[in-house]
Parts: sequence; structure tokens; C-alpha cells
Amino acid sequence: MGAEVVVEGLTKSFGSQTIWRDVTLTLPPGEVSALLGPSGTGKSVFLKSMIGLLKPERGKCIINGIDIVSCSESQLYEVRKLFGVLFQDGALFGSMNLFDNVAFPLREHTKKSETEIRRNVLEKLEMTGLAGAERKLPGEISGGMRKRAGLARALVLEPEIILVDEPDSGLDPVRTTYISQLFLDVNAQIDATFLIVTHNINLARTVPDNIGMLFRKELVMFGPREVLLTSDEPVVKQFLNGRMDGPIGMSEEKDQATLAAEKAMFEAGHHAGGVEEITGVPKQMQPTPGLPPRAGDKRRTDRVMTMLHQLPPKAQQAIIDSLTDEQRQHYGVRSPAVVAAGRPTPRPRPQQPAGPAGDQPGVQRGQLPADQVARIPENRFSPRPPRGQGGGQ
Amino acid sequence: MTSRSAVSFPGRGALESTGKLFALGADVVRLTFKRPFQTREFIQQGWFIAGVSILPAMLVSIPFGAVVSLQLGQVVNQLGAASFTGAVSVLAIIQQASPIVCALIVAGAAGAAICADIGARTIREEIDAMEVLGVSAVHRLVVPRVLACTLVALLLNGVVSVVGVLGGYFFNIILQGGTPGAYLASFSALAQLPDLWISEIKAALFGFLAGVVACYRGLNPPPGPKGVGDAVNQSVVITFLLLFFVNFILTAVYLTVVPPKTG
Ligand SMILES: Nc1ncnc2c1ncn2[C@@H]1O[C@H](COP(=O)(O)OP(=O)(O)OP(=O)(O)O)[C@@H](O)[C@H]1O
Ligand SMILES: [Mg+2]
Repeated sequence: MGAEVVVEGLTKSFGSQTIWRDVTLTLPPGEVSALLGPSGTGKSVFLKSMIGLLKPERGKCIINGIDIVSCSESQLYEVRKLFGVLFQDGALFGSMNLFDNVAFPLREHTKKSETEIRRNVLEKLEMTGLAGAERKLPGEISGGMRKRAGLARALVLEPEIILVDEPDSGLDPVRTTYISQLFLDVNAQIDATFLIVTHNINLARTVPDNIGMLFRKELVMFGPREVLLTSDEPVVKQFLNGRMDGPIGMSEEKDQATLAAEKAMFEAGHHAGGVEEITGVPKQMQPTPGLPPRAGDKRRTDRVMTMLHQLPPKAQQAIIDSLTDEQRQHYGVRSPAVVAAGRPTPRPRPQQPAGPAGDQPGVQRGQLPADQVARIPENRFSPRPPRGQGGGQ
Repeated sequence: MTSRSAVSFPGRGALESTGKLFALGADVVRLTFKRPFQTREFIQQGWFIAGVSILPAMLVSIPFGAVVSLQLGQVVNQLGAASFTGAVSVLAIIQQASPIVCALIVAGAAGAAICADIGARTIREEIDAMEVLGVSAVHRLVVPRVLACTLVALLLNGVVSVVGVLGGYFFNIILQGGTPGAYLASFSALAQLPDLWISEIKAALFGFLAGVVACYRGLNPPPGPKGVGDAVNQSVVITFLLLFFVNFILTAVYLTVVPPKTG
């Protein structure tokens, strides 16, 4: 099973410029998470902080009990062996051909024979669609190919945690989907924890189990995909739809005056961009048939069901909709038709005591209190959570 | 958790850089003994540095030796110690001119290339990628380069000394009408073995410095591709400044510690 990553109160600034503050989230082991956010909000900086390339000023990032922010250099090198990282620009070694690039981690960290290395590397290059290009230098291939080669190198040690910075940039839509499929297949095979930074809405809607979003120097939300995809938060809606109409501006966030001026402009008929309203939670992509089912997916369903009552009503609805009949029976929730016809706020476990007022799903609007969504329960879930024990933490 | 102080005062940046430069130097020494040693990289770099340095070093050392010996020959003549010309010019060449020439060439030709290479890798995030793959860039890239600079400077020093002394000898005999016998006799009367040692020690130290400075600037370039260019420029300038300063100290120490040979 992949490692769990617990980030607590992380704050990073460059000089006087704060990039983000108080980021708290947990990447659940073996699940695929995505991080969205407008350009320049520090997503790449976040990834680099997670692997200790940048030192945040405050907070913790704990992996297997080791805090990346404060551990010693030798511990850092040890922990890094758990990671596979795809950098935004691929970061291939320019003086080595693709084969040697992908073989590099194997040669450094394993005692494999050259034949074994060769088999391993060619397999990864095949997986990323680069068979036949292994003798080329990074300077001689296209940006998309560099990206895929970087991915092959990140995967070659079968890491427990895989961080991917914008897999879609420089790739055409079809290859992006193939790469997404590849992520899910790898996840099914080695049960690694994924964090994917992306601007690609299709990928964000169909691939991850959990989605987070950085905006205005903060983690706006982080939680099960249904929460963000059904959110009414203006930032989230604007981002998903790619419109100009909303709080995200070209450079920083907009001030009130710009916002008002733009609103007038859009009302007067100026096209705010975007094609069609993007709503709802599409079906999640699955591993290629023939591969084992994703263990992370199963753990996630258990986890989400225990915290279901804390989620906003729309997200609850979406989650229940996404379950199979069997699962609904297993978790003791009602079928969507009944829920829809019955109460607007489904109560999955009627016998469970109502939480404090703040927990009332109906009370939440868009922005969720950080402690409810951003923190995912630390306890391991038994496949069948005991009834009436209360969900979440 | 460490909360770093953000006090700023004039010269803070310079102090910080100096500290980091020393830290890198110390890391290089420490990681030199870490297995596995990057032999291949070391040989490749050594070959490369020797390739770009030998010819310019020899070309510089002939006129340099000549100038030193002409100038000194003149002065020594005026003082009426013409018979000591040989000793004076050979000592000057071996102890001062040769190590400095080596270091200037190593820093200017090889250091600049090393700094540009590492700088380009840094901005392309190759160094980050290497660190993330759990491989120390200092161990893997910096150590072999610095050691190659050191070794080549050391060997080059021998070549430059010989060529410089030959040049000085030639000009003294041909142009100033010195006698070969007096030249050689005075030389063996005043020079001693430690003079050669200090020359080699200096050359090795200067080569090490040139390598560390080049790698340090390469690993910490100002942002952007232009930053790499600036870094190369600065690395050469910084090395030169350091060189003359360190040379001054070494010379002062040497002259105090090693008693002059009285012929
Ligand atoms: N080494 C650095 N020194 C100073 N500032 C930096 C550094 N790296 C990043 N920044 C700043 O941090 C901010 C976030 O950068 P980052 O690259 O993380 O953005 P991003 O969210 O990944 O954007 P994109 O989606 O375009 O990749 C930017 O404003 C950038 O100027
Ligand atoms: Mg980025």
C-alpha cells in the first residue's frame, strides 16, 4: 500500500511574498488526489515542498513518521526513495538518452543486472508510448515525449508516492486521457498514493478520488471529488468552467472595481468564455479491464461513507448516486430515487446522533470549514464500519 | 521547528553566500570519501579540463616567464647581483607565477564551462530531479569536477613551471647576456625543495577553489537563462579575487614558516 502523506499547517514564502499559508491536508494512502488552482498559486512550489526541495517556514509534512520539513539530510534522502516525481518540464538529464534517463534510478538504487534493467526500462518506455525512441536525447524529442519520458523515469522504481506536475501540459487530449488511464492502471497495480497537479478539467473530473484547490494563498478545499465538483463556491465554478466571470483574474485575484466593471460588461453581452455549464459528477475512470481492482478505491469508499454526514448535501447525493445497489445495501443508505423523492438532505445512517449544529449539512454553503473537509480521518477503516459509531473523527 | 529570522542588514546576502560556499567546500571534502566514487565522471572531467587548459597555459607561461625574468634581471643587475638572476627569476616563477597562471587558466577555461554546465542543469530542474531520485548532486556532479580541477591544476603547475623556467632561461641568456653557468649555480644555491612543495600546494588549492566556486555559482544561479550567464561571469571574477587573497596569505605564511636558504 502506498504511504500516507500528512501535511499540517504548511506555510511557504519567498522573501516577503507568501505563496500559501496554513495548508493542511492528508493524502490518503493508495488514493489518487488532484490539486487544482490558477497559474502561479504555488502548486509546483507545494510539490517541491513535499519532497524537501524547498523549505517551508512553518508546518509539517509527515511521511512514514518522518517530518520532511525538519528531518536530517540523510533521512531526507531515505524518504525520497519512496517518491516518484514528474516535474513540470520533465527534467530529464540532457546529456543522457531516454534509455539511460529511465535507467538512472535503477542503476543508482538497485543491484539489478543490466539485462534486468533493460527489460524494466523498455517496459516502462512501452507503457508511456516511447518504444523505439530510447536512443534519442531529450533535446531531440517533442515536449509531450519529454513529459512521458519523465513519467517513465518516475515510475521505474515503483514508488509508493507519485507526484505529477501537470501531466497534461504539452500533451494532446487523447494522450492526456491515455496518461490518465496509465495513472489509474499503475495505481491499481502498485497501489501508490498519487498527487496530480493539473489545469485539465476533464482529467480533474474523471480521474482523482480527492480534489483540492489552491486560491488566494490558501487551500480553498480538499476532500472527496464529489465535494469540489458539486461545490457552489464561485472560485471553483469559475475554474471548472474556465470563464472570465468570477473572482479569478488574469494576474492576481480581482479587486471589487474590476469585478463590477466586468460584471457590467458580461451583462451587456460580452462573452465570458467557457463553452457549456459544467456541473455534476461524471463517472470516474477505471483501471483497464483485466487489472486488479484498485484497493485505494475500496478504502476510499469506506472512508467517504464514514464521513458522509459531514459533507454538503449535493456531495452526499452525488456519492450515493455513484454507489452500486450492492454497495448501498452494504453501507445501509437509501437508493437515489427514494432520497430524491424523500428528504432533500439524506441521512445515511438514521440511527446516528446528530452532530453539533455546524455539522448540519444544510448549513454549509460552498466553503467548508477546514476541519471538516481538509482533514481526513486518520483511523484505518474496516471494510464494514460499525454502525452508529458516528462517522469521521 | 525552526523559524528563521528575517533580519536584514547590509551585506547579509554576501555573508550568507560566503557561508554556503564554505559549506559546499566542506561537503565536497566529506563526500570525496563516500563510496561509490564517480570514477567515470572524474576521468571525463579531468580529460576535458586538461584539454581546454594545457595549450593556453603553456602559451601564457612562455611570455610570463620571459617578462618576469627580464624585469627581475634588470633590477638585480642594477643592484649589482647579476649572478643571482637565475635564482630570483626561477623562484618567482615557480612560487608565484606558475600557480597563479594555472589557476587563472583553470578558472577561466574549465571553471566557466563547469559553471555553465551545472547552471543549465539547475534551471532545467535536472539537479532537483537528481536530488529527488535520492542521489546527491554534490556527490555525483560536484565532487568529480572539483577533484578534476584540483588534479589538473596540480599537474598543469608542473608543466607551466618547466615551460616558464625554460622561457626565463632563454630570454635571460639570449637577451640579457647572462651566463648559463651562473644562472644554474645561483638557482641551486638559493632555491630549496619546499619552494616546489609550496608551489604545488598552492596550485592544488587554487584548482580546488576554482572548482568549488564554479560549482557553487552553477548550483545557485540568478533566475532564468540570463542568470546562468551572469553566474559564469561571477564565478570567474570571484575565483580571481579569492585566488589573489589566498595567495597573499599562503605566501605570508610560507615566508614566515620556512627559513630562507642562505647560500
Ligand atoms: N525559487 C523561487 N523564488 C522566488 N519565487 C518563486 C520561486 N519559485 C516560485 N516562485 C513564485 O511562487 C509562485 C508560485 O509558483 P508556482 O510555480 O508554484 O506556480 P504554479 O501554481 O505551479 O503555476 P503553474 O500552474 O503556472 O505551473 C509564483 O508567484 C512564483 O513567482
Ligand atoms: Mg507549476
